[in-house]
Amino acid sequence: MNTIIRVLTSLRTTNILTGLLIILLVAGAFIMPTNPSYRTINQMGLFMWLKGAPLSATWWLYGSMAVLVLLVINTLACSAESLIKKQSGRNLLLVISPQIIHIGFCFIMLAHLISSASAFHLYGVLYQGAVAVLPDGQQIRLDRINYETSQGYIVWMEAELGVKDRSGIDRVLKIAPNKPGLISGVGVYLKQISLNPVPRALIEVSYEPGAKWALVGGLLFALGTVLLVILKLIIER
Amino acid sequence: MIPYIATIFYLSALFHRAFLFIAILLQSYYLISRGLMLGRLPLVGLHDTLIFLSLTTALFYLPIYYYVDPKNRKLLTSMVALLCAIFSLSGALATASSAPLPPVLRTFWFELHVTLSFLSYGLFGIAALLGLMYIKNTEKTLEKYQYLTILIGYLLFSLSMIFGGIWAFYAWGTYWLWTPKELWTTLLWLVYTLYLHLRYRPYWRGKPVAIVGVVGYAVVLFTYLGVGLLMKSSHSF
Repeated sequence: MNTIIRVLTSLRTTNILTGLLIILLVAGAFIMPTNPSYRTINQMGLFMWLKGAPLSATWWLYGSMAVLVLLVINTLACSAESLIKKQSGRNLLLVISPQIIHIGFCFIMLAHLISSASAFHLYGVLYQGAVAVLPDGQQIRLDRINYETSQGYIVWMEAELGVKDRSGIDRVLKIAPNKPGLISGVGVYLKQISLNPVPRALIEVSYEPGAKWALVGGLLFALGTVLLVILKLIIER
Repeated sequence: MIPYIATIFYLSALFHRAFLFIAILLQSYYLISRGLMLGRLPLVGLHDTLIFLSLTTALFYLPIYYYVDPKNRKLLTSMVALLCAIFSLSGALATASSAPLPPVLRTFWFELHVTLSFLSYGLFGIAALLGLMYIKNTEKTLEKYQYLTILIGYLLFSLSMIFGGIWAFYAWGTYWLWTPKELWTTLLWLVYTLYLHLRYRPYWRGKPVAIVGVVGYAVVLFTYLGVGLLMKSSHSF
């Protein structure tokens, strides 16, 4: 038991796992662009995509996930040990700030886990006046496309959607790049527009349940890192 | 024309450091005037980003210049000047894009993401050169400044990734896309994470960890130039 705890709380374990993760991701970075299975990876949750992809293309992803699970356990164990053992005689902020970073990292991992399990991204071309049905039964209708051009390029665009919920109530939703609409927790995104021969828009319907946890994790990570950098600069000077 | 003149001044800094300041002023003037002309941040395409990278590398060297031991200044200044000259010339040779930004890039999150990325790349470049100097003459202050430079670069790079995730969520409906660029960005972040953790291990302190800091910059260059030129990703516009 003591050996397990020692290994779990060891910085050496962190370094070995991080090194292993780097090797796996390097392998993945070369497999991903050349393997056709990866064309659909961004259209669904990772776990669902993995079910239909060949092991020859995904072994590095399984390996990375296993290493990340161990890394999260190692991170939590190291943080717990630091807080329990190293408080006395040290600057409290210097002890706490790396732990804030670690918790932020764990939240980001949690976000990826949640998204991998249940995220989805649906794409469809919607012609002006046409109706599409969302997974929860609500309907969206492309009413109008607005845009501005400069030097022949589209510099601003917007789609006006009519949204009809299951009780039949209509409302207008305006979406634009970087300004998605939200319908019952599902994001509706305007990707592209085309005006000829018929006005139409490429719409993405996206459900990303891990996003809020990723934001929490990112903010904690940023806060911890800012604190740590300031403290380290003060100490080193 | 100005980027070529700035390159000549960077190369002249191999003989006298004062030319480095002139090159910095020229590049600053060029990017500011280009930003005013375009009415946006001039950080889209190889031309702008390479010149900005050259400028940030030189700018971040200025505080280091005053802190390092005077006997190391000449060689370090020459190395920085050469690196900046290479980036500046490459930027000058690349075609400048003056087309209006596509709608998806017209957001504060994109500007933050890209600016912080290149600021961190500049810092990682200085850190790599400090690491090379340290490997050559094992002077402790050089390793200390390499560490501090990487620590600040790591903070900026982490913030850039967080802001990139927020932007991606607004633009593409997800904070994470499985593309080579994202994977290499994560690899880059992991290499510097490994650097920061390895430094706590006595066995790795000194030359081994300085080498990891240098290797990190090779990953920076591949992530920025190699992936962008060789692989298709969400970062191709």
